[in-house]
Amino acid sequence: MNGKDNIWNRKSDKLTEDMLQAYFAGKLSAEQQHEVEMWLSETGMEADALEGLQTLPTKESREITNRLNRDLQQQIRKKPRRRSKAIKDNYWAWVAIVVILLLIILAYVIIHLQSAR
Amino acid sequence: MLARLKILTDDELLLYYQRSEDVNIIGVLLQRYTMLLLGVAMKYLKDKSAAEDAVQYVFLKAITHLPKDNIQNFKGWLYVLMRNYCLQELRDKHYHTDEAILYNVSATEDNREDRVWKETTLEAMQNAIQKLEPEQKQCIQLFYMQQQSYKQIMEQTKFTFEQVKSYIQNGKRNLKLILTQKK
Repeated sequence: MNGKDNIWNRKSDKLTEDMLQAYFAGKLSAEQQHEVEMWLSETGMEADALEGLQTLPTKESREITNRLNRDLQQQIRKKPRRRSKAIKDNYWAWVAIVVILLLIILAYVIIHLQSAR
Repeated sequence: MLARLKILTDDELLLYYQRSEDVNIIGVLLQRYTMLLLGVAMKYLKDKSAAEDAVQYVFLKAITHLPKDNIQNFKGWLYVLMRNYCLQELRDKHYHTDEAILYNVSATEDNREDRVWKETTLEAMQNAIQKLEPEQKQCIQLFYMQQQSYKQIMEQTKFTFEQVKSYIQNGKRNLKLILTQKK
């Protein structure tokens, strides 16, 4: 890869949390640091994230991330099934809807016949 | 089950979710981006608890409002969601943030333009680098041509981290301008 290609191409197409952590903890070699910093020279989520994470101590960003992941798991366990899905899969719900519609039509016909007399 | 999900790509997980509607799959997907989302929120809001709230908002929104249609780029979708939330917060609550940040939001790359400058020859690139301001030229050469890290560039030039970042970002943008104007 020549210098020109370095400007437009990154070696990695994903910036992992492990890479981020190691970068901020100063545990990467100069070559690996350069690889992470290639994201900084671009625009997008990784560049913004690198900029933002620089303002947090490494340990704290790890703690907040863990806490957010734990909360997410709890939220997922609590989440009820979607209402539309419940009706769609419920045979008796459809039977009830059909019966109610038939009763409405029947009531309408009876009332209509009585008023015609 | 979870270990098996973790090796799938975002697209594969999304497809799996659309078929099964199992929210655990969204959980696996979102956890891939927790730290990145936190970083984006920190950049804009500059406040730890506000950033944490922002990530929780994006998670909730993703769980409850993930479009049924095929999302081409899940990461991009999350990024836009987070950026929009942060910009709205900045407007509503007047966090002390540089106003320029509101107007410096990058759009997606124009594919045609992208192709034009990727096809540039090495000679044209070197000529364009010569036209940059001295600091930008120096940082671009050290970073891209000599593949030095920011730390090494800082030691060599005595620039601060912010300066190095800014010279590289602006230098790259200027290079693109010079090269696309020529075409």
